[in-house]
Amino acid sequence: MKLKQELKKKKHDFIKKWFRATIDTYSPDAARILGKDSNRFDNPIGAITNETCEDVFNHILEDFTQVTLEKKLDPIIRIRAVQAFSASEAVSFVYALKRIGNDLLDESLGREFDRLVDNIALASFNRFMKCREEIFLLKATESKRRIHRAFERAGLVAELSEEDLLGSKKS
Amino acid sequence: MSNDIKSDELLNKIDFSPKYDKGSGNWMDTTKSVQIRPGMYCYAAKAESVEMLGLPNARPWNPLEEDWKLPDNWQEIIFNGLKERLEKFRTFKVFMDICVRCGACADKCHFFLGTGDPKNMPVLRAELLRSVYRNDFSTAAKILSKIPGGKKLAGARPMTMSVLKEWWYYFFQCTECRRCSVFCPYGIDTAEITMMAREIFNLLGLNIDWIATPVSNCYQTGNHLGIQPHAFKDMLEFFVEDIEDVTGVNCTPQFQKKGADILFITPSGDVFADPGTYTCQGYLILFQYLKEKYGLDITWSTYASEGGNFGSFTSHETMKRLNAKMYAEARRLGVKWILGGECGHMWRVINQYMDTMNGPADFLEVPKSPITGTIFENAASTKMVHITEFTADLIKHGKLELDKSRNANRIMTFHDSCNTSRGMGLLDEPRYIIENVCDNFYEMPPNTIREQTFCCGSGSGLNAGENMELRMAGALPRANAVKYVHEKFGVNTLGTICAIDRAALTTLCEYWVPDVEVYGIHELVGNALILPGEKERDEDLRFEPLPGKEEK
Amino acid sequence: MNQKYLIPLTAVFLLFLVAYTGVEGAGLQWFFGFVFPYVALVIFVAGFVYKVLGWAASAVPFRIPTTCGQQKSLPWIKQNAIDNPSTSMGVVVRMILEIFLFRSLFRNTKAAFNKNVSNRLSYSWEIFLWLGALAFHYAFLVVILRHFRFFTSPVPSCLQFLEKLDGIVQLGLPGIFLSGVVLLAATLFLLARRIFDAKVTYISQAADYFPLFLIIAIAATGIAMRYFTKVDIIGIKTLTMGLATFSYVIPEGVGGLFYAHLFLVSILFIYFPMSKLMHMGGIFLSPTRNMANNTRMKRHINPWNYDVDIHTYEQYEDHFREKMIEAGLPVDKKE
Repeated sequence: MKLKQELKKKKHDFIKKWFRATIDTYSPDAARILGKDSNRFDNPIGAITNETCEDVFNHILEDFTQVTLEKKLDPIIRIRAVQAFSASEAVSFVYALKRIGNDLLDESLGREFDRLVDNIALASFNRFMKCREEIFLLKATESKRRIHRAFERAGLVAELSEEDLLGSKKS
Repeated sequence: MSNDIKSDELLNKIDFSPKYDKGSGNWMDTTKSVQIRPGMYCYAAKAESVEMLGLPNARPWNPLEEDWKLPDNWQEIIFNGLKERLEKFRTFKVFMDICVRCGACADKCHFFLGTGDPKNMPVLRAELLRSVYRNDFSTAAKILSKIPGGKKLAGARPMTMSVLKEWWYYFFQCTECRRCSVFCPYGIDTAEITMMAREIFNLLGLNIDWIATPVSNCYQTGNHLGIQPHAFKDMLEFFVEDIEDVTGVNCTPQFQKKGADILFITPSGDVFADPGTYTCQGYLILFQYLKEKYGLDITWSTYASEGGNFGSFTSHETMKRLNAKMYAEARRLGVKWILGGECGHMWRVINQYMDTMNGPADFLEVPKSPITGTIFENAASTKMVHITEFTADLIKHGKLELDKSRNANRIMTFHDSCNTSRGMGLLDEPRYIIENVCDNFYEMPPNTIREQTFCCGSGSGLNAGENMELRMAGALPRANAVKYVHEKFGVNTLGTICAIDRAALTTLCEYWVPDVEVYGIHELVGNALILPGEKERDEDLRFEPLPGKEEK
Repeated sequence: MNQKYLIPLTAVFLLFLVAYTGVEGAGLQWFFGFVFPYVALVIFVAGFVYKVLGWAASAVPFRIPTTCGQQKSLPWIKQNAIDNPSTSMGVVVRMILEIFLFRSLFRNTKAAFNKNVSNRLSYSWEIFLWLGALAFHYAFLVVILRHFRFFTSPVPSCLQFLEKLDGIVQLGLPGIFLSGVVLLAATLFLLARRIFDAKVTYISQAADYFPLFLIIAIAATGIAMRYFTKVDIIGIKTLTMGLATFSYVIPEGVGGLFYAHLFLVSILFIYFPMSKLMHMGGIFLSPTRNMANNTRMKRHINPWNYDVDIHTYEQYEDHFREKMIEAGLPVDKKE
């Protein structure tokens, strides 16, 4: 409880530093631009990163489950899943919270806070994998679905069902 | 114990952030070859497709391999290729010289905004080529290079294999959407520079397969998918059956009818790929309505069965070769004028290139709507009219009976396609139609629509599967705006007038905004239009229950 | 420190020293005050003409304006006749707005006034880029025009009027010319932007810093001469009138600072045609701005249009005839 009160008190510092740390995972040249506080349609990465950091942080102050946490993390992970990041790089921004916690929190709260961050990290791994799976599915099925479905409806490729094309029957 | 490591020390030792080469801070100093990342590039063109078109250096190759199997004199080919194009295109020459690197375009590119890769800033994309131009073609730079520090002052670098790889990687990360050109104080158009770069790639056999194979198909069979004439007809006949199920009316089209009034050409995506197929059904319904009520005589052609033109993503010459079929078929059939379906780059080609390349179309008449008598003065020379111009005119003259309530469950927003907005200016016609066939229409924020519209991220031949990460990253700015109206106004339908959009935005929505569906404008027209003699409709063209007809 | 601006900064500094010591030490007034300005002028004019003719020599095969508004189509749809012009009149207006008001650059700024998510007015450099660019170009123009007083005798009344306007803020003696101050301030701003605005830092080359340093040096030497050091105005006017009338006059008592100023201006003249500064000429020739979007109305001719291989209908029908007949599609030849 004490931790949450403390976090609430230092919320703005946390969010600001976390946002900065997240943006700094981009190349320095890009980070300086993406970190600008500009119109959300002119700088979607910056705006969404900012919003998500805020949302997630607010969320951990309340009662949360891994499921709701994962949902809150979605916007930012969804972006990082299609950018030139490796899996560890993509979720690394969560661990930045530990460093920030180290700076901002009393040592006695460190362990508890680290556990909280671990929860966020686990949720972000889950979400990252889901996003990657979606990408692979889109890769595998996009053209087949768009084009073959039309052919199928027309009975031109009647021998192949969508399941065959998606390969789900074989697996 | 003294060698105990405290937890925070351990933590400090782990650096999760990606490593970046800090270098000298100058992008031009990269001595290493560009890292071509899976998910961000498209596969190399198949040798057969390159051969079919008679283009040079057909061979199997792989961009990830060190050796790209180029001819020995590849540098000479590039030099001569650039030289020729500098003489042939004033755009290219002027744009090579006058950029002041003011940075106005830097954050206007959807690929930069989505990937965060600074080499995707339009100015930098162009500088990749300019740096070589300055090295090879600028006398001033050559003189400057002789004095110490002069090479820096000139901003020049020689053509090397790593430069070529960098070109290839980044010029296939440009969708030729022209958004940067809107903001440039000199109108420098990166699309134009990308087109030149891609022409150069084709001299070396460095096309991507997603472009080369559709081009080769289109050349031979008339459309990108390589659908043979009988299959094309089968497909439309199948649509006729579906429409009959929904409306009870037979909308059978005519093919290759000599002496018809109008030839209709649409991208083959409308015939073969969902959800464009529903837009195609919309055209069929509209044509049937006009035939029944006003005796419209319109024909389709299996020979000119492709409105799209992947040739335009290859070279001007290939663009011309594919586009030639439109006029050739119109002349052979003896029609009065041509009507074009909903497509983006097809209309860039028609609006800005076709008449110059393959005209004059003096065998056709100035387009006149046989129903309203409107003369389409803006197409007086090309003799080709956009279907939203045609339909908007019909609606304005009260020639269509529309039942808006059938689209009452569609809460719309409209995505301007890059080519029709920045290469044509077709902005209000589709909006007028939407307002007349739908009750609920909400615009996305002003800096994401009309001439400032964001690309779908998959244009100019980049809608392959293997580069899905690139496409989704490039789609982020667009998706972000769609998501905004989805959350704010409950928008569930994204209207568009482009075949690539219909396919690409569908995928975009699946990933970014799963509750939004993509519709062509004429699908909405098809749903709303009251056909003479139709039965009471319960379903829309997608066989979904109409509003108010859901099973209780 | 960054090489990108160190090299140009050093170069400008060296150039200054060359002229200053050349005059003060070696007594090369004849070179810096007479020969070199002519050389620079010749290179400038010849280079400018060569470059423009070079552009003009390249064909304009296609009419490809960037359309930034509604096209002309149906009579009841309101066309944006400036951003999507269909007539030469529209193009002229578009170009005037572009050249005199930097309209496209201004487009940047609209978004900058939007509120962002946190409902704070978002902060942006963009409006300042537009303002800075306008201030820079207009101040430069006025400064150049003002300098014609050194090459004309008597000074035309329009120049005197301009000077009066420019000196409208009466401050100290001699009176301040706004243009000089604005020019220096705007150039310093544009330089600061290149150094401190991340995206611009990344794209900037030495070639972007060099002209900025050069112009700063020119403005600074000019201002120094007018306000801070005593220069012999009569002597300078004798010299410049000599230049204007092609007669060799090197008056006594004109210091090295003036020659350095003149030398840097000469360098700017020489550098101009071989650099990005040519955007001054290029803006008039940019096909995405100076053409009407009327290709569908009026045929545009491509001077190098050539015939290409196409897959003809006959070839197509030969290839697919049987299948077409079977599917009931009309064919030209039955077999």
